[in-house]
Amino acid sequence: MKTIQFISILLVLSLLGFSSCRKMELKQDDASASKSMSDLKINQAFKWETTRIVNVNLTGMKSGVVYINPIEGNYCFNKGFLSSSTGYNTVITIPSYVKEVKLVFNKQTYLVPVVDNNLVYSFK
Amino acid sequence: MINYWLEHFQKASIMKTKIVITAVVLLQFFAGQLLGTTKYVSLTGSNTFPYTSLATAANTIQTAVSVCSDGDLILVDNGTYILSTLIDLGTKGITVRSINGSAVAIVDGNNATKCFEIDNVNAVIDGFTIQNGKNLGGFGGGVNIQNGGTVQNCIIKNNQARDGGGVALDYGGLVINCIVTGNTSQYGGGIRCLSPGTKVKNCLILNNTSTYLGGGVNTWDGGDIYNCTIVHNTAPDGNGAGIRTRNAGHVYNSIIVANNNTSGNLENWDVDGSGYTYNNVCTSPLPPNGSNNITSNPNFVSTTPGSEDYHLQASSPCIDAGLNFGWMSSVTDLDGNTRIVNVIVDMGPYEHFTPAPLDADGDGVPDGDDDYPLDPTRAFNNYYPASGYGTLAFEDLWPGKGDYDFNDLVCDYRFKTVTNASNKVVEIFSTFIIKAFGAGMHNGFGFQFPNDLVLQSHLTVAGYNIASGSYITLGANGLETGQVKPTVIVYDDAYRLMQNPGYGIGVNTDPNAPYVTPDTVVVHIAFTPNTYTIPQVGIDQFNPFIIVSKNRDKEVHLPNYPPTSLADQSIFGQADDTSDPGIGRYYKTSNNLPWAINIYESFDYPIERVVITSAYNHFVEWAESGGTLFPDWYQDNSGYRNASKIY
Repeated sequence: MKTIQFISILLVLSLLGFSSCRKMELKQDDASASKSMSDLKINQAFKWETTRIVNVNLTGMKSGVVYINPIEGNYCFNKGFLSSSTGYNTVITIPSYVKEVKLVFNKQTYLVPVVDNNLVYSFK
Repeated sequence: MINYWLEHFQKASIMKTKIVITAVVLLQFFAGQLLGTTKYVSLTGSNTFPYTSLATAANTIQTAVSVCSDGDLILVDNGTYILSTLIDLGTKGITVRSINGSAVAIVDGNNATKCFEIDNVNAVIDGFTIQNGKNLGGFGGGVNIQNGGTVQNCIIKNNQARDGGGVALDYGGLVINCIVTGNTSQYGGGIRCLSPGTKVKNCLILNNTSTYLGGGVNTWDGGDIYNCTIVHNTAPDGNGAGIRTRNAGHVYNSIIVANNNTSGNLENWDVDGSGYTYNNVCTSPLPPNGSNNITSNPNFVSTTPGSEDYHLQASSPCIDAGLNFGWMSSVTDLDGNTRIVNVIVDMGPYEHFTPAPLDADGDGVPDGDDDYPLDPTRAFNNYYPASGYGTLAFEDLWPGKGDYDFNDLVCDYRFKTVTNASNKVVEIFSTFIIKAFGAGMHNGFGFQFPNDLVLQSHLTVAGYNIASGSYITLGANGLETGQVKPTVIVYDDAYRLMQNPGYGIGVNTDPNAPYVTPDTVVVHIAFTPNTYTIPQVGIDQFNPFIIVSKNRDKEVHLPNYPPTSLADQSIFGQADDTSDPGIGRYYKTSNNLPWAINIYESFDYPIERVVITSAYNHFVEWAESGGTLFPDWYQDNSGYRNASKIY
């Protein structure tokens, strides 16, 4: 009886161990990594983000649709209706590497830098 | 030279003439003789008195004039009326008008005689081409206005006189909405104004020549020039190739450019005597006596020889730069359009206006800019990420460290935010593509709005994939219950959406296992109309998370993103986690490593058990530099990746 109990306990422990091993086996660090993740020295303030948030404040003498486009690429970060009385204020999130954007307003194009996470421009 | 502006003028002139004639004929029909009689002139008429129809029309204008009295109207049929003697209206206050406009009703002086002479403030010459008049010894080759009268909607060209090659205004009179071109004289090649009270308005005056004074216009003792464009006229050196104003000559709202003296030098204006003024004039150099004059390029549509067009481009500084006068409300510009557009009149004879763009749904957003041109409740699609899908990549062993292959869940995402013309959010389509999960556990996935500015009662959510009887509890509006901030559960168990192919753990992380087609879930979020802006919703700052092993208490978020109201915060600080809600620190290890990353572009994830630092060569530099170096580390640029370690 004791033998049966012992074998049963051993079997259960073996199964548990097998399951854990299987998981642990798959979750070990890759030995070929250039640097172990554990060895990284990461600033506490780092947000691990690939984007940045930009406050947009655009004004103009005329109303119309304004497009905020990348310098290169056929897409649009944001578009909306700029009112001559209230301007166009929004927040956009863009890739961290984007330093300048292309504004299109009333069929005119303007290259405007993003400075300190602010995009500010006044159309004439 | 018949080019664009001439054809345009003729069409406008025909239209205006037809409208006026129709109105006059109708009035006469009802009012009988109260407004005077109408006589007709036609080259093919029977020339039968009293010339009251086209069939019985007089064959010459003078014949009809001779039987008219004040208030009568003479309508002139198409044709070229070649003169041997001038048409003299004497002191009659009558109107001589072409039926079909200046392009087809031509009075030709045959280089033998002045064409018209009028001498009554109620006399009107309307809608003719007046050409080849000759009066070398006197006033006006085309028309001489003595004490009053109006010449309007005419093309006055190739006439000659001593004073006023095209038109000579003596002691009164008005020339309005005319093109004056190719005329010559000794004084005032195009137009001569002798005295105060003479007026010229809305005229294009070009290519005229004087041998002494004022190639385009000469004012002697006075004359008011309003809204004229005076270009390419010629006069001798120092005598005003464009215009010469003497004494009470006043110029308003006009463009005087590109006029050259006989030496070929620019000479737009000249002045003499005293009392002359120039106000709101575009010319060079700046004239004396006046204000609001500019020397800028007027930016005509075209100055190319042979295809000149003296309308203004949208960029012209002459737009909205004139001075308004009361008479402008009752006249048109040279094209027959409204004289004042946009509150302030333009300089020159042509008022610039941009045709209102089509806006089929009337929401104020032109169809060309409107993503929903037939739907007034919607106007714009805004995407996040803008360029395509982004990727969320999770480790699921939290609070224990993972293996950092970041493939326990790999999910592409993109939000399409639909806004209306007031920039208010109408709805959001949230698309999630489950590409892979290298996890043995049955995990769910959801996201939370970044703040509680958006009231949950203002939202309705649909399209999520949650099993009946799930451990997830949703409210009637589709949001998860018990949450302070709006929280959307996209699915409750990845294994229910994508099955393991029978090899390895999870789906699509082991290159030796069969590929499983990714599953897509589109969650639709409707907003109460006209309530929130894009920044207020903040969907680009959403807070995604996985729910580990169907345990609703256990969530894994991006670093420094807080848990939802349903997470068990007692797990914080256990194992490798060093979260500290008191300082806003969440889901980081002691050396600040995350359990999840959010990448702006679609991310090609490492295969199972390959740490991300091995698959991406610049990940370490990016992370250790605080994101400064290689912010594009995830892109497929040369030298950035080890392709063999990427799924």
